[in-house]
Amino acid sequence: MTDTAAPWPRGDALAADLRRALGLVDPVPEAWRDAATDAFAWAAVDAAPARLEYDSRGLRGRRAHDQGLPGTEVREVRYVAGDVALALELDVGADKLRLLGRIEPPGRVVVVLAWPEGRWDGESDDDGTFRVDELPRRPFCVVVDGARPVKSGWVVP
Amino acid sequence: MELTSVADLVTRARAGDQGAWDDLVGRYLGMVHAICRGWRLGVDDAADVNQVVWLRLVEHLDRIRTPAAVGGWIAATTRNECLRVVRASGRVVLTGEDGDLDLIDGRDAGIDAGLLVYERDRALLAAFDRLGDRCQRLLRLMASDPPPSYDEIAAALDMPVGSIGPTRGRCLEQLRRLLD
Repeated sequence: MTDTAAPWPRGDALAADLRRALGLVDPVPEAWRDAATDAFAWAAVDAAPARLEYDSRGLRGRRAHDQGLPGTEVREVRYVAGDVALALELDVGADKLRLLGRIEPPGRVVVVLAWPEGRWDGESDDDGTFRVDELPRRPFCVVVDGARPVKSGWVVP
Repeated sequence: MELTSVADLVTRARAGDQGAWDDLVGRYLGMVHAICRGWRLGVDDAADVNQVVWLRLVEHLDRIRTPAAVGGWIAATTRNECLRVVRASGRVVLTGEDGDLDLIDGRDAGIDAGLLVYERDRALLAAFDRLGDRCQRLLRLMASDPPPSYDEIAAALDMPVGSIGPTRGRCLEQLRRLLD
């Protein structure tokens, strides 16, 4: 048993005691390291990264939206890479989100949504639109696998 | 770790080197954890912030102007994400409300309560918990392994580099007084 009656040190010695005690009681969870390591997978996706051009989050005067899920927030995001644009409209609920996407130029292309724990594979229609009604409320990115593959950045709902 | 080697890690990670990325994670994960804990986020919220920080970093790796300063970027991004979560949720999970360290909200993440039998550690952590938020954030950040640079601490806490040392001294002195 540690001698609790011993005088407490000062300065750097006290900081060292604190570092050791915090390390014992509050270590970095191993799952954090896994999440951080796995994040690098985005870099390996063979597609041009698109630039975030617009994000309505935090903007005042959001437009009225009568199609949104009850109690949800509607958010619009737009990414651009060269002549390819990707517009996303999110209905963000407590645990889920609904996503409506539109690709320009329009046309049928393979679309992949990826989040840390899973993915959704689909295709846009002739108008370049795609829709996913139930996604987990998790950070996600979109890969548009057209003639020139493009990947969005991470959207955090 | 020297700044030049951090810059080298960033350069190699930009080129797709997973090993360099893993080394960056090893260098800064403790700092990210300390910042999150300093904001007293719940276990799930803190894990989400950690994930978002690394997702943001891999996305922005090519755009960080000064690779050697990536630690400051990570620190500032972590702080901003913590603030975003706090503002969005409108709640802050308090730890050790009555000085009982068994209540610390990281308990579910694997804290071994048996370690707390050491009364001296228990007393030290109880005193630490009575410090103000700013002192707790600073001392916790400086206790992370490996310790961040002053520039990184300044970015994490939004405070001038020149005030870190004196503030640390005052916080340690407050902690010492609480232990008497």
